[in-house]
Amino acid sequence: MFSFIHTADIHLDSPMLRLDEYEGAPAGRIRQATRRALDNLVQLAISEKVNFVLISGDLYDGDWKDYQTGLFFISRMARLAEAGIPVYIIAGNHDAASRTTKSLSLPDGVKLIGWRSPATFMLENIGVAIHGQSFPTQAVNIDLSEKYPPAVAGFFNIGMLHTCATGSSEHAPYAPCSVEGLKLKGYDYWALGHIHKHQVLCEDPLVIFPGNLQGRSIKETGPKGCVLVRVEKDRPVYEFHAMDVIRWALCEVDVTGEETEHGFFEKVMNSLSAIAANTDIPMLVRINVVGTCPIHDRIASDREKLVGEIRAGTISLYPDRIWIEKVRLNTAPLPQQAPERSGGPIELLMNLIEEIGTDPNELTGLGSCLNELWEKLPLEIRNSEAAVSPNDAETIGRLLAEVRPMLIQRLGISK
Amino acid sequence: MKILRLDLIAFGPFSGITLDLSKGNEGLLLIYGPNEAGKSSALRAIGYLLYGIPERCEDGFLHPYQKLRIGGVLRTGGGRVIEAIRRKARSNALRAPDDSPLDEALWHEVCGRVSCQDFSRRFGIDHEALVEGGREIVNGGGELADVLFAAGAGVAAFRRIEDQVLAEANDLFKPGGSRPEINALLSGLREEQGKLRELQLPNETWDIHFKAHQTALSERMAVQVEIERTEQERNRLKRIQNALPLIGRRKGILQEIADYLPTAILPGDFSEKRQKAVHDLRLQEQYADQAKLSLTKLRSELSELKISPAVLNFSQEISDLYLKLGGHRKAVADRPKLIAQKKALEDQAKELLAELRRDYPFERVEDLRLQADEEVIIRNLGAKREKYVANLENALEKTSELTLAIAEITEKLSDIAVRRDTSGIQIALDDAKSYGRIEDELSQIEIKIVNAEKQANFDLAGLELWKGGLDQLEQLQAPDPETVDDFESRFRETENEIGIHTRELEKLSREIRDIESKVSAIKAGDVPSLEDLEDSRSLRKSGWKLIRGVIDGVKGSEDDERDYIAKVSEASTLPDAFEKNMHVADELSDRLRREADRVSEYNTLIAGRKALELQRNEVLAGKEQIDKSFGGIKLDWTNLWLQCGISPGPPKQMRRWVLKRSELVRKWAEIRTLRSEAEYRARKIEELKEALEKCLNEICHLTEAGESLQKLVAKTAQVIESETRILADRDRLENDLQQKKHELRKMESQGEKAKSELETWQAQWETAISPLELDGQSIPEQANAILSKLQEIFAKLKEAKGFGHRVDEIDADFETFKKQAEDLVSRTVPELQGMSVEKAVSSMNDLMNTAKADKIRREGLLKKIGEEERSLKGAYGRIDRLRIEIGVMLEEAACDGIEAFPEAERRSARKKELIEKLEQIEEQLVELASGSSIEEFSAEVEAEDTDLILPRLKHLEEEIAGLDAKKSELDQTIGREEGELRRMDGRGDAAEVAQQIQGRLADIENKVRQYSRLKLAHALLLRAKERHREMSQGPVIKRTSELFRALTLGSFEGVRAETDDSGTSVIVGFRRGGEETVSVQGMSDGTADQLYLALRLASFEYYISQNEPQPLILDDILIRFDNERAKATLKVLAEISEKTQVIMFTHHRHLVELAQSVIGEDNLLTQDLSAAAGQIS
Repeated sequence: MFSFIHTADIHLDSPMLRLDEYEGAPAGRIRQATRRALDNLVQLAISEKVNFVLISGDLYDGDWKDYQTGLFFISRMARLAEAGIPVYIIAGNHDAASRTTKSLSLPDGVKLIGWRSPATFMLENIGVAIHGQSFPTQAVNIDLSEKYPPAVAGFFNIGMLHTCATGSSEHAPYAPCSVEGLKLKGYDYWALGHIHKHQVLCEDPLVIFPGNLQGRSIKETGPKGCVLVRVEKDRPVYEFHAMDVIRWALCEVDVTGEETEHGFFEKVMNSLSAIAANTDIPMLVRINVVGTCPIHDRIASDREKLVGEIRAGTISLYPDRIWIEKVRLNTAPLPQQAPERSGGPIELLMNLIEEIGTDPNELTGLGSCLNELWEKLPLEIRNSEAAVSPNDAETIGRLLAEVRPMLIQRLGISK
Repeated sequence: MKILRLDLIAFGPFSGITLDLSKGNEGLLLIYGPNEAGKSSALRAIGYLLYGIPERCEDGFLHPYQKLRIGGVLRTGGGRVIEAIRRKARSNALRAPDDSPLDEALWHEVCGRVSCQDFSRRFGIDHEALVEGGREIVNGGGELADVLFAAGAGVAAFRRIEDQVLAEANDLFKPGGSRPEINALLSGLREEQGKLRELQLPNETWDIHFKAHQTALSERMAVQVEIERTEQERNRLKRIQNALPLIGRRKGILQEIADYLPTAILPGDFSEKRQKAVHDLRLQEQYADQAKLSLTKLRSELSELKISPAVLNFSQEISDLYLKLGGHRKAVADRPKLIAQKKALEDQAKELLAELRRDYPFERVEDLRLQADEEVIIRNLGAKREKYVANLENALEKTSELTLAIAEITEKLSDIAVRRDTSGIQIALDDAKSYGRIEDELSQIEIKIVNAEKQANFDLAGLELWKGGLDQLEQLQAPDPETVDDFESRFRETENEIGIHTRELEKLSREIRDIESKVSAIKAGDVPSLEDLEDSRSLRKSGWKLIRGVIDGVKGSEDDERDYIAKVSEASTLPDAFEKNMHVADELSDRLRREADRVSEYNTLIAGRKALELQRNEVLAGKEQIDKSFGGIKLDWTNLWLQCGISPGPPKQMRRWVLKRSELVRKWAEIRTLRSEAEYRARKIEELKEALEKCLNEICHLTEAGESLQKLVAKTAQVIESETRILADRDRLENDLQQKKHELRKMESQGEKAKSELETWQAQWETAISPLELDGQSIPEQANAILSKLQEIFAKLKEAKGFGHRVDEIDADFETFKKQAEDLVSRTVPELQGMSVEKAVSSMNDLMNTAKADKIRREGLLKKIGEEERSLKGAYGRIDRLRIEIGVMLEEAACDGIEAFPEAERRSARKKELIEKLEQIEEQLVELASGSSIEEFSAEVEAEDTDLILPRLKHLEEEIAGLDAKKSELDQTIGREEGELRRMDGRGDAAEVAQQIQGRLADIENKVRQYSRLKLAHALLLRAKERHREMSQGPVIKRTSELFRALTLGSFEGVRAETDDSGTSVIVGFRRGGEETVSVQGMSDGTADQLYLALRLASFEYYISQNEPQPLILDDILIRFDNERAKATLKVLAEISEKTQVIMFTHHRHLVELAQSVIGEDNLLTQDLSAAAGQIS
C-alpha cells in the first residue's frame, strides 16, 4: 500500500485576472492565493504521509520574471524533502519558457525530469516506476508519450505528461496524444498536466488531469486542487482534494420580465445568496444579468450606478465572503411595439442608430472617434477580450446598443 | 387630427364642462382663465385625453381618482370622427360613449401614432420652454444645426445635453491631459509597472550576489591564514625578546649553587623539631624524680589501718532489724485506740435494733438476717403493684366511652334515606356527551349555508352571459377549458398573422413615405420632374392643337380654349397662354438637363416607390385572406357556445367564464353537502333529548318542556352528582360503626385480664413479706423501710469485727521481732547480750557503720600507689625515645653535637632558596620556549640577532594591521551580500503588485467602455444634427425668416445662415436689405424668445407639411411680448390655424381682446374658463 499526490499547473504567483477593484472588496482574501494553495498542497502531502508527489508541469507562468517565485517554490519543496517525501516534476510549456525553471537549484529529493528523452525513476522499496519527460521548448507539437519506455514488469507504472491530450479550445495544443495511445504503454496511471479543468479521461488505466491548483480567472470556475491516489494491491483509487483559497463563480441572473429596479436588485441578491450558501471559502463572482425586460433601458442608461449598488449590497451582506469580479448587464429590451411616428430629428437620430448598427463600414467610421484613446492604451488593454477597438465593427455595434437607451434617457424622450 | 370637442366631465375643478373646439377651418382657440380657474387642469386634460391619465395625477382634488373622466371628439385627417371618454384606470381606461371599452391601439392611430412625450414636446410650447429655448440659442452662439435640432425635436436644452455628454467624456479622457480619470489611471499603471520591474528579482541578480558572497567567503579564509602565519612569527620574536634577561639570570644562579654542593638540604621543619626534642628530654627527667617521693609516703599510711570482719559479714541482717525497730514502736502506741473504736460501733448497733424491736435480745440479732433473694423478691413485687391497678382502671374507663359513641352513630344511620340506582341515567348522559357541542355545530353549519348561498348567488349574478339558476348552471354542457385554450391559441395565431401583415404594411407605408419625403425634399428645391416636363409638353401640345386649329381655321370649342388658358397661369388669351406654356416647357427642359443628377435621383425614388406600392398590394391581398379565415374561426367559436345558449366573448374572457362556472358548480355541491349535515344533526339532537328526559323523570326529577340538550345534559349531571354524594356519606357512617364495635370488644377483654393479674400479685406478696413479720395488707413502702434498717445494723457489726482483728495482729508481730534480735546478738557481738532488745539492736547498728568506713579508706590508698608506679615507668620510656631521636638528627645534619645544629640549618636554607629561583626562571622559559626544551630554546635565542628583533617586530605588526583591515572589509562584503541574499527569500511583493496591476487594468477597461459610450453618443448627436440641418435647413430657415420678420414687426427683415470665423454655420438676423447682420448674442432676451418661437413654428409647419397635422397647444407664450408683438404673433397663429388646429391657453384677458381685434370672427373661438369655474361654484 502506498499513496501519492498528483498535481499540475500551479502557475505560482500568477495574478487573479482583471479583477474589478473597489472600496470594501475583500482584498486580503486574494493575497498570494497561488502560494497559499501550494502551502495547502504541501500540508496535505505531509499530513497524509504520501510516498511521493508528482507535478505534471507549469510551475510558473512563462512570462513571469521574478526569481523570488522560484525561491518560494524551493522553500516549499524543502519542506517536503524534510518530511522525506520525494517530488517528481516535469517542465511544461510555461516552464520551458521560464528562465527561473532553468536556473533554480532544487533541494535533494526533488527531481526535475530531463527534456532530452524520456527518463524512468524506479522506487524499488514500494515497486513504483515513474516515467516522464520535460518540455524542451515552449511549443512541442509532437506526441511525447510515443517514445516513453514500455511498462516495467512487476512495478506500478506511472507516466507523467504535459499535454493537451486530444485538444481543448482554451489551451494551447501542445504535445497532443490520445487515450488509446497512452493505454498501449501498459502503464497503471497517467499523471497529466496542462488542462486547467479537473477531468478523468479514462478509468482503466487512470488517465487524469488534476486541473490547476488555484483558479485565476472567470474561465477557471469551481473548486481547484489536486488528486490523491492510494494504491493497494496495484489497484489505484483516487480522490480530488480542493486546495484553492478563493474560488471563482459565474452567477447568471435572469431578470426576464422585471419591471422595477427593486425587483432587479432582489433577483441579483438572491442569486448571490445561493452562491454564498454553497461555499466554505471566499468567492470571486461574476454577475451576468440576462433577460428581456421592461427595465432594460433603465439599466442600460445608468450602468455605473447599478453596479455600484450591487457591490455595496454585497459588501454589507457578505463582507469578506464575496468579491464581485465584474457585473455584466446583458439584458435586452422588449421587442418594439408598433413603431412611433415621431418624425423630425428624434426619429432621424433613432433611424441613424439603426442604420449605422447594420453597416460594418458605418460602425468603424463612427468608432474612429475612439482612435485617440486607442492609441494611448497599453497592449494589455488592446489585446484583452474586453477591448473597445475602434476598428472592430462588432464591438462598436454592441456599444451602440448600449448608447441608444442612454441617449433616450438624456434627451428626456423616453416613452 | 383635430379635437372637435373637449368634455371636462369630472376633472380638476371642472364638472360637466364641454368646450366646443370645432369652429373655423381648423380654428384658433383662445382659452382664457385667470389664476385658479383651472387653466393648467384644462391643458393637462388634453394630454390625458389623448394618452391616458398617469398613475400620479394632481387633478383629483375635487373628484376622487376613480371618478375622473375626460371626454372628447376627434376628427382624423381622413375625416373620420371618433368619440371617447378617458377614465383613470389601469386597464380599459378608454371607453366609447356607451361605456364599451375602446381599443387603445386604434385611438393611438387616431392620435397620429405620436407618443405622449413627443406630443407635448413637439406640439406644445409653454412660456418656460420659450425662455429656455431663447437662452440656449444665445448661449450656443446660434449654431445652426443645434438650433434646428432643438426646435425640431422640441428639446430646448439640446445643446446643453450635447455639451454635457462631451464634458463627461472629457472628464474620463483627453488626448493630452493628465487629470481625466483614464489618463490618471494609465499613468498610475505605468508607475505600477515600473514598480513591478523594480521588485522583480532577475535570475542574474541572484547569481551575482550568490557568487559575490562565495568569493568573499573564500578570500576571507585566505586572509585569515595569512594573519595567523604573521602573528606566529611576531609571537616568536616577542618570546625571544622576553627570554633574553631570564637566560642571563639563570646562568648566575647555577654558578652559586655549585658552591653549596656538599650541603645537605634539611626539611623545612627541621630546626623546630630539633629544639622541641631537646626541651622534652629535660622535662621527662624531672617527672621521674617526683614520682619516687610520693610512693614512699602512701605505703606508710596503708600499714596503719585495722577492720572487724564479723560485723561486716552480718551487716545486712543488722540493718533489716534496725529498720523493724521503728514499726514495732508505732504498733505498741496504736493498740489501745483500736480497742476503743470496736466498742463504740457495737453500741450503735444495739441502739438501732432497739429502734426496730425494742425488746429483741441483741444476741439473737443474726436470726433477723434475710437471704439475699428474699429481699429482691419483696422489692420487685412491691414495684409491680401500681401498674396492675392502673391497667384495670384504664380498661373500665374506655369501655364506657365506646358504648356511648356506638349509640350516637346508630342514631345517625337511622336518619339517612334509602339508596337509588343511577346507572341508567349515566348511560344516557354519556351518549349525549359523546356528540359534543352538536347544537353549536348545527348553528355554525346553518350560518355557513346562508353565507355560501349568498356568495354563490352573488357570484352567479356576476357570471356574465348567464341568467339561469345554479341547478341549471350545473346541468349545462359548457365547453371544457382545453377547447377554450385551443380556440384561444387559434385566435392568437391568426391575430399574430394579422399583426405581422399589418406591421409589414406599416413598414412598407413608412418606406413609401420616406421616399415621398425625399421626393418632396427634392421637390422643395423645386426640381422639375420628367412628369412635369411631359405634363407641360402635353399641355403645350393641346395648346398647339388649339392654335393649329385657329391657323387651320378649324377652331376648337370655346370651353377647351378657356380650359387651356386657365391651366396656364397669368394668361388671358390663347396666344399668350401658348407662349407662356412654351417658355415653361423649354425652361423645364433646360432645367432637366442642368439638374440631371437630381432628376435622376428623383426618378429612381419614384421607381422605388412604385415597387414598394406593388409589394404593399401583395401584402394587402395576403392580409385579406387571413382576415377571412379569422372570420371562420370566429363563427366556429360562436357556434360552439350557441349549444348552451350563450353568445360568447373572446376566448380569454370565456376561459375565465368556464373557470367561474366550475367554481360555482363546486360551491353549489358544497352547499348541498352542508344542508344534509345540518339535517342529520337536528335529528340527532331530538333523539338525545328524549332519552335524557325519560331517565330524569324516572327518578322523580321532572323536566320542563322545550329545554335545550345542553341544559338537559347539565341538569342530569347535577342529579347524578347529588345521588353519588349521599351514597358516600352512608358508607362512611357504617364503616365508623363497625370500627367502634370492634374497639369495645377489645377493651372488655383487656379489663378481665387486668383484674386476674392483680389477684395473682396479692397472693405472691403475702408469702414474700412473712419473714418480716408483716400482715398481708401491708403496703410495699412499709416492707421497704424495715429492710433498710436491717441493712444499717448489719453494716455496723461488720466494721466492729474488723477493729478486733487488728489488735490481735499487733501482739503476734512483737513476739517474732524479739526472737530475731536475740539470735543476731549472740552471733555477732556476744558482749551485748543482757541488754534490752531495743538498745542491743541500736548498738549493733553503730558498730557495723564504723567497720564499713575503714574498709573504704584502705581501698583508696591502694589505688593511689598503683597510679604512681605506672607514672614512673612511663617517664623512663619517653626519656629513652628522645635520646634516640636527637641522635638521628645529629647524623642528618652531619653535626658532632647539639651545639653544631644552628650553622648547618642556615646553609641548608640558602641552597634551597637558590634552587627555587632557578625553577621560577626555567618555568618562564619553558612557557616562552613553546614546546622546545630550555636548552634548545636558549640555543635559538642565542642564535638570534638581538639588535634586529625590535625593527622586525614593528614590521610584523604593520603587516598584521593591514591584513586585519582587509579581513574587516571582506566581512562587510559578506554581511552585505548575506543581506541581499536574505532579501531573496521568496517574498511575494512583485506578485502582489502584479495583482494590483490587474485591478487597474480592469478599472481602465471599465472606464474605457464608459468613455466609449459617451464618445459614440456624442458622435451620433453630431451626425444626427448635421443630417437634420441638411434636410431641413432650406425650408425651415426660409419660413423662420418670414415668421421672425412678422413677430419682430419688421425690426428684423429676417434670418439667414452664415458661416462664422470658426467655419460653423450659425443663424443671424439681418436688417436693411441684408446689409446689417445681428448675431444672436446681439439680440435682446425678448427677441431671442421670438427667434426660438419662429424656429419652433417653422419646424412645426415643416412637420405638418409632411405628416398628418396635429393640434398646436400653446401655454401663455405671450407674457413677455408687448401688445404689438403679441398682435403680430396672434396673426401668425391665425395663419397657422388655416392648416391645423391651434389651441392657446392664457390667463391675460386683454389677449382675448387683442386677438379679436386682429383675427376674423369666423376663425377665432374664445373660451372663458372662469365662466366654467363659475358653473362649478
